[in-house]
Amino acid sequence: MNEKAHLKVENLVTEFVTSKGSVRALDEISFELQPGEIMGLVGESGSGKSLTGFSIMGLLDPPGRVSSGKIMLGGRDLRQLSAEQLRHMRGNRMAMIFQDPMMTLNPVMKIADQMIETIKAHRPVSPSQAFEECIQALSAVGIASPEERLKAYPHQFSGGMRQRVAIAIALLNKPDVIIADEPTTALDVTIQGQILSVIQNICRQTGTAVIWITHDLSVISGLADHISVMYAGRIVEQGPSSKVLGHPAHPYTRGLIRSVPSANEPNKMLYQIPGITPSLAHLPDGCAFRPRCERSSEGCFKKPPINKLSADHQMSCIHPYSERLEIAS
Amino acid sequence: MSAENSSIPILELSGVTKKFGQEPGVFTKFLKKLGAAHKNEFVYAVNNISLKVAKNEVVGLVGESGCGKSTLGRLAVGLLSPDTGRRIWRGNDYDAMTAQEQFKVRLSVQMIFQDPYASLNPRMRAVDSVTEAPIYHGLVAEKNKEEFARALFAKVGLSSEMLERYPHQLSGGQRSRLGIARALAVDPEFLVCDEAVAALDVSIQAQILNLFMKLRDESDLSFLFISHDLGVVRHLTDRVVIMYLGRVVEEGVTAEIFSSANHPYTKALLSEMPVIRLERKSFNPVQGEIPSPMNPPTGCHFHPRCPHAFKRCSEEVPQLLRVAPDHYSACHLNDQH
Repeated sequence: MNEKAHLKVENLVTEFVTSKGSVRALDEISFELQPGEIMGLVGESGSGKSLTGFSIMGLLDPPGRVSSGKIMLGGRDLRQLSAEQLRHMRGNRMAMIFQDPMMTLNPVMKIADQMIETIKAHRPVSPSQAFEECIQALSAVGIASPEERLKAYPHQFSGGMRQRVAIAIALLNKPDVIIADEPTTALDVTIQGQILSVIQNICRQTGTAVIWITHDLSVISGLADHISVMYAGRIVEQGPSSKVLGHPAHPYTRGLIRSVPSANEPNKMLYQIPGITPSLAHLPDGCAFRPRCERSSEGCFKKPPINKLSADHQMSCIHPYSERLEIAS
Repeated sequence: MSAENSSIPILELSGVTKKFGQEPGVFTKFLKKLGAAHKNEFVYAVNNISLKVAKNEVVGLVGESGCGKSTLGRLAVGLLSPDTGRRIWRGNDYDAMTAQEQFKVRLSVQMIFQDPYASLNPRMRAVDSVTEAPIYHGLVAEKNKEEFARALFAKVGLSSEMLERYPHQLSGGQRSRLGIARALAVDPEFLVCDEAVAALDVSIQAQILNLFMKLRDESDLSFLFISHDLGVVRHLTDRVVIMYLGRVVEEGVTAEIFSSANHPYTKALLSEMPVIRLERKSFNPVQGEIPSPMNPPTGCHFHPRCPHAFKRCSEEVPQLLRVAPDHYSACHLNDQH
């Protein structure tokens, strides 16, 4: 196992500049990821969680652009790299897994060809060596008889198997970071369990760090070391999973946990966060959660500072909760 | 509600089977007679299923993709007809009714779909969408439709400003409510919800689940709630039916199933059910894939993935047997002694 680099994102701002003005879709996102760590990036639709992944990977399409901040991977700022240098990082030092594996897989190429292509794009290895690596990668994600399956086309795989192939491809060059964007959302429960188990084992073994983007707190709670909660383009709370879920300090995090059915007594009314997610083009002043928050006050019209609760647990709210959140289980 | 009425289920399915595919043509039959190998082209989406929904009861139907839960829902509302088996509506055989009687029954059974955007006409204003059916059925006069829609909207928690909106002008949660309002417009007794909350964000999902609970308590409705989400099912339902590849593997009172599941498949599902936990979990999922319904395993459909499978499992289809009061499971392990 070679030494893995660590990822540090500092004050990342992503904007969409349109004729009607510019929209700040990501507002000063900061987090750090150590080798082998799994971070859950949680939020509802439109909160900017996928956009964070695309911004790090350098996959933003105009009019979107990263307008300030640093994305440091192993001491190099990805924003300073040329397109060619960045291309060499993608698929090599960092990789992405999507909700729909067919976004990764080419439907008219055999799995073997796609995998060998990924290796050869970054490393000069012999064809037999590359083939050997493909076999190993497929067995690592739990695909039986990999020699046979390498000759197959993507449509010959089931949904869960395709996602395993996409994971195998992401892992081929032993990247430092994998960004997984809702990779199990479309899968059945038993298959989801299998994928979670594959990811967990691989991170522990290879030291690859994972950013796991999801809207479902319960999926990530058993897997992630850290959780970052996003709301309207900002990270509102982040820390170790046990702290964020056990002692959620931000009212939004708390509301999100309390509205999950499995965290409630059966047949009781669920907690409802009032209101709806605001449009990014018309964000409320100050704290974006203010109009939906039970605790809001005059002070919330100013943007809340980042408040460190402990060395590794921070959130941005001026009226944090300090008590433990009891959930049914 | 009289005692006599309450004992008769709203809807009873008895040994219902639905297969998809084609009868072999004359030519294939001829080839088969000559001894050519011919695969059975039928998919048994729903295979000999019996189910009861009592008045004011919420029955959950759980299973993974391809297990036939949506087909069963469509059979229940009358969008599909079963190949064999009977559908009994309030004690009367639905398929033996006259067309006029069937028409009436269908009015009492409404369906709510996963994607309200796909089931709402994009060119109809909300007020027209919800009043189209009741006007057609003569439940409300054209001139009273605004007032009627306003009352419905209040019931599902939509403000009356939304009356004039088109579906694309509504948020996801509002569209969901509109889909529910439309189903309620004809004053149904029985609602079939097919993954009705699956596509919603957690905070919106909580609102819609609360609405379902409110409707159940206030309007005397019965539900067949189809979902793959075990957390939602545990929260909302009174009874739960677990399906695997067209068959029921376990059935019982929700609390009992979730506390003492009997069938290995149910146990596997429950152990992978995502719940919020504070400690890291080591995943130990059931291996293998869901087999193709075109070519299901012999005997118990679950046996290739089952950690407890033995010889009999691959040879004989297990029957649903009572394992506890009001708790049934189809597993040979219960029947060894």
